Amino acid sequence: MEEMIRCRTCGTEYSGDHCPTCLCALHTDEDPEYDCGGVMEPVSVWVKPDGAWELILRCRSCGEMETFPVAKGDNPMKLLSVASKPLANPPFPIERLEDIAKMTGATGSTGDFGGAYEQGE
Amino acid sequence: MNRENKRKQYDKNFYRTHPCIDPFTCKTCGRTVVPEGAGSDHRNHCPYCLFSLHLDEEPGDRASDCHGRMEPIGVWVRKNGEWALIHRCTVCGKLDSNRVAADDNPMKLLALAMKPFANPILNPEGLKEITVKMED
Repeated sequence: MEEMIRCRTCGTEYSGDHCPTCLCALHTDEDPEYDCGGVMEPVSVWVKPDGAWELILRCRSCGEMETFPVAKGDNPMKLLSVASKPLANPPFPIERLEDIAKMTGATGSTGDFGGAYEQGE
Repeated sequence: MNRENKRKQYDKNFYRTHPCIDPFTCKTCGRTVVPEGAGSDHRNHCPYCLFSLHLDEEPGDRASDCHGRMEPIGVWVRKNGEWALIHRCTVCGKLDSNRVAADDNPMKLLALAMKPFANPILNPEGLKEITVKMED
């Protein structure tokens, strides 16, 4: 029988390394110097070289970052919300990206959806 | 007499209190990077390929023995709404967060933010299934 932990953020009982509902975790470490016990909240998602998603959690108390593999029962909507946060708060006007890139001498283009809109009709 | 050079040599924590003003050559893309244009005194990564080097344990202490290349793996939004890059050391796996600079390649930044969505985990069928379940 696995030990159940009550999530300090949303109250869900879970076993495993992070809460499947709010994706928060507790900051624990084998090294007592880094074991701060703070709440780690999800800040981003990254794609591992093998193609799997991993959550990036950041400790509210000490700012340390850690990655957790996405588990099977994780809330898909919360995952999508975390992953799209940067897109929703761009640091530059996203519609003028190509102009900005040209000004800074960067290459690349944003392209389009390759006719995906027409296919849907 | 310029004592600044001597301090740099003997004071271990010089860069904890002073910005580094030396240009450097990116170990990944080979471009020369100058401190001007970052919009900050502390340039941390190459503005072209966004790679960094694992030199510090704490900001400015130059205490790391790893010296691995730090790969940009993602971006996140800080409380004040500005983006920060998440770097991961390709040698030891240490994660680090860093403010984006004013002259960082915007295309590369946005590509990092888009990466999770270009992954087959988000297949249209799976998303459709979720949406149908929500409408029930």
